[in-house]
Amino acid sequence: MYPNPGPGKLIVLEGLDGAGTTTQAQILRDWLRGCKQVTDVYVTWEPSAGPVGTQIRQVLTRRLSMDRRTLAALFAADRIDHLYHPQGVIKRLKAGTWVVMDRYYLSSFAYQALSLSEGEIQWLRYLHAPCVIPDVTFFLDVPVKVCIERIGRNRGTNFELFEKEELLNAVSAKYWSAIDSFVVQGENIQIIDGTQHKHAVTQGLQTYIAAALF
Amino acid sequence: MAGKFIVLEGVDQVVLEAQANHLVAWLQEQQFPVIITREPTAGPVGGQVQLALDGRLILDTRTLAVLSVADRMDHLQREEGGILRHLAEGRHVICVGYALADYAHLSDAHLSDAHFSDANISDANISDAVSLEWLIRINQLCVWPDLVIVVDVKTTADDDMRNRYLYAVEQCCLDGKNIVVVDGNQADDGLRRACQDLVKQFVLGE
Repeated sequence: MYPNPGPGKLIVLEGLDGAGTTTQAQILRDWLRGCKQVTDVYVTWEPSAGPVGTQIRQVLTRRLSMDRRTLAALFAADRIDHLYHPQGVIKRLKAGTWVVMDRYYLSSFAYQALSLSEGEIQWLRYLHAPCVIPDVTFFLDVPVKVCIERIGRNRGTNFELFEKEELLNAVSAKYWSAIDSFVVQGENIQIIDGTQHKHAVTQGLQTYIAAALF
Repeated sequence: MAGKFIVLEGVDQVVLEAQANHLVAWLQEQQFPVIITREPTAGPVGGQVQLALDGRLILDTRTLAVLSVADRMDHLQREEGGILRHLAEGRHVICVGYALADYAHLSDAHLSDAHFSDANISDANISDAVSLEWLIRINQLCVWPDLVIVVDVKTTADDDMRNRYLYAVEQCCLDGKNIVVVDGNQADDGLRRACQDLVKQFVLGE
């Protein structure tokens, strides 16, 4: 993987479904736009709105069936497209834009890794070799039961494939294992207590960004 | 008995398709169940790969490489019509184009592999090059065929691509892969017999 090539910063929000990554990404965008150190802000998410990301959504909503390894490769392809397409994240970082991403490769090492063997997880790492390492990844730590309550409140029973309690418990274990592994390799992953009120969570993100990235 | 997986690779698609059809007809004459398939596939992922190859969908080479692996996994693993299922049910599979096509078309084979070593992968500058080594690694879950026949057609027009194929063959052979290069410029009858002899020798054990 590569270090960030730009003057712009790459900030990633990760967490279980229901952890609040999408809410915090939007709040961060508004706050960063008001900061004098930041010239431009771009918020984006995965799966992307590109051609590959659109196909992934069809799989997640069960309209298209796909083998687990094919889906893992498809997520990696979408991620690389997200970075490298002509108006992609890398171009923006090079132009000085601060990019906030709602989910990135850590999600694959939690969700897709669930159905992959150790050897296949090594293969997953190879697929991600072209990715850019974030300046910081915030992992919003929220217990599974709280996530399930939030998902139920916000989206009723229209759950996607991964949004079941048993599954989320397994995903959570994979997240922590992946975090340990990436931290050992020198990645900057900050654990934030996501059970706090959303303004307190935001405060935690802002404090870190102001101290470490400005 | 499990079927065998035979792949035809090379620069000239017309020659490859013709030889694949000859092999299918020849195996069917001998009462072997056999199917013919090709990459990119006609599946949902293969459709995107084909659009990119046709220049209608703009994809970076790295994205195309990983998308092509996704198509290959779908080709192998899908429940209906997947290669592995055909093989398990005793059908031979003849496939036109597979991983070697990616190695030749997508890699910067002229660069030494040392350029792409793990130590270099964290270089400050993002390289636009796609290494053969990386392509081989991302294809490692794709079942290697029982036999790969590379039909080597010498043309003055596409010598660079021919050299890329031959370089990829050389690297894969170092890795112990079962690849044989045949002269694609010989008369059709001769080429047909050469392919049949290879299948007899390497696949049917005759």
